[in-house]
Amino acid sequence: MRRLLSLLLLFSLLLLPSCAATEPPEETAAAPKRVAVLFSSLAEAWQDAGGEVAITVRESVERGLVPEGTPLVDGGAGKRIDTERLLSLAPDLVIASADVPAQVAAAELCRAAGIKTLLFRVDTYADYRETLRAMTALTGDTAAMEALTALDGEITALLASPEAAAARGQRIVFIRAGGTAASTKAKLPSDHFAAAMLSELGCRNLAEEAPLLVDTLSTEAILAADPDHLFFSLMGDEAAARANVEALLSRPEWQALRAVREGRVTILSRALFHYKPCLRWAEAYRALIGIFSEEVKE
Amino acid sequence: MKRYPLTLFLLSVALLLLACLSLALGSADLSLSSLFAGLCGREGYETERAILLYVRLPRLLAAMLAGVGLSLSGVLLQDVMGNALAGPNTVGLNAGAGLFAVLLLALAPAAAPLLPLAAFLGATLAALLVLGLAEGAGGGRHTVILAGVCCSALFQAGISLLTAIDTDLLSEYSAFSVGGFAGVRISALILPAVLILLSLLAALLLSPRIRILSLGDSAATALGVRVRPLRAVALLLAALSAASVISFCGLLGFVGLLVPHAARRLVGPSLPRLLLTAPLLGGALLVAADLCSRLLFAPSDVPVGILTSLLGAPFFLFLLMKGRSRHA
Repeated sequence: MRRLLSLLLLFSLLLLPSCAATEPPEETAAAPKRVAVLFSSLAEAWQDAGGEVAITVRESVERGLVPEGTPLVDGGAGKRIDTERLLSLAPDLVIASADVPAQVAAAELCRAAGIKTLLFRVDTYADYRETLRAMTALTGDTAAMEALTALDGEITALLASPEAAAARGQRIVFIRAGGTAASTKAKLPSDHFAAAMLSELGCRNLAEEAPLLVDTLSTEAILAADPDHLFFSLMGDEAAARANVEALLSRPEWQALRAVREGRVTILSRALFHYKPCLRWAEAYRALIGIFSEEVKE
Repeated sequence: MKRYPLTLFLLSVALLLLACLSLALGSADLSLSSLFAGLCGREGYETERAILLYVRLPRLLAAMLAGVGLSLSGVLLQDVMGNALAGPNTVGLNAGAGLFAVLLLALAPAAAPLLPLAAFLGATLAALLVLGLAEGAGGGRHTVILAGVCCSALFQAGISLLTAIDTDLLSEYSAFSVGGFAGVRISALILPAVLILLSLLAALLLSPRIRILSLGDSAATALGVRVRPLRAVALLLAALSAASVISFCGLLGFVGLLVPHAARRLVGPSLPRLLLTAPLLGGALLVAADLCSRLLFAPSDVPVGILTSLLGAPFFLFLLMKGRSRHA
């Protein structure tokens, strides 16, 4: 009977509009004790805010955020949540990503079951800052609040620094690369937080100049535009993606690009740019600024 | 009688014109003079040369080859199976190629450069499996179709399972499954070109016998045709041709189904005529589709597979309606 009810609730949830941005936390008498976090970047943010993760997804274990043996509700990155297991683990708070439909559905189900839920969307540093503020308001961790304030100050100073000016006006192409040529595509700032960071630094993403970016920029358009810098973000198997990028850059048409010939190609480090950098966000900005300011020195 | 040579001539001219347009036009606004300068290797025109030789020309050749290969496959499949809905999809070729591609990406992601080979092997083995199953069930035309449909469903389930287990695979597989010519290299076209042209030649040589199969198995046997071996050879030629195309451009939909129908409207049901007309028509269609994919949303590059499906479905309905009104 309970299973049928859960299925009916899930079905009706498909007809509802998806939840959007950050939701303000409900006031609670005490900080939640048994917290399920369905996304590894949010698990890291929750820990940054002084919280403990009791239930999560496999990716959080693989990233070393939680120990092996932590109860899991998905064997991957949280794109498919075992809602039955989640409910059976009886969390008192569920934190989920508003970007993942399965997590939105799981959160709604938990809410319907009387479990407090929070949905967050972290696409940029500003989103992370608001997320962390909301989380520290729940945990009451003053050290975490101070760390956030310090991070905010550091990033503000970095963005206003003379070195950051080197990035302004630079014409770039930001490419997400998988293991095959077909899965290698130019992306917009809205598609990846690193591309958003580059836009924030004043770079001109050539994909934004397309009236409508359908799938990807054509190779022809990239060749004709001859951008100042190419950025690659690797996805999937890192070795395969890296080999694919190297094979791509060695092709005659890509060798015709000044950026390739002159070494202005950056494969972004996964440590800082694959997952959200969280408290290392200043380090990520510094890395990007460093790329442009070094070019200026040369 | 004169219509057939005229049709061939007009299709050849259309293909030639489309080929010229395909080289002259693209998302980069380049003048003919600059393209010509690039072709001649003049200094200062390196970008034009790179675009012409390494982007537009490979795409043109790939589109032509894919059109020839898929159309040939569609003609053979529809003729041999006596079914107007037969195509590379029907005998599990696309699904077999997709499954092997996903298996490679799942088990050996570092071997991603071998994806074309995996897709080719998958399509070919799928065809052999379908043939084997059909033979075991009697070897009739309908059993081939049924075996193809079953195998397609099985392979699709395998693909869905693998992409459900490893969701990163989904984005890699999606790009492959839509089909397109972006990033294709001329070196990757050589072996498929040889296989497709050999398949076409073999099909032309066998066409007088293959066309007898359309009379039905009993009638064909009575006329001295060895039905089952001939059907198997024809299906293998169709599979080789389609598998060769899949290896360099992924799973392009509709071409193998639509082009034989359109060719029949032009030159009638004669197999030898179809084997020359359909490849020309298919090549022209895909060159035009590739050109549209590069221009319609320029500078975006829309995968050709999306266009062939978007345009193919209504055009197919148009052909069906036109055929129905003609019969009425």
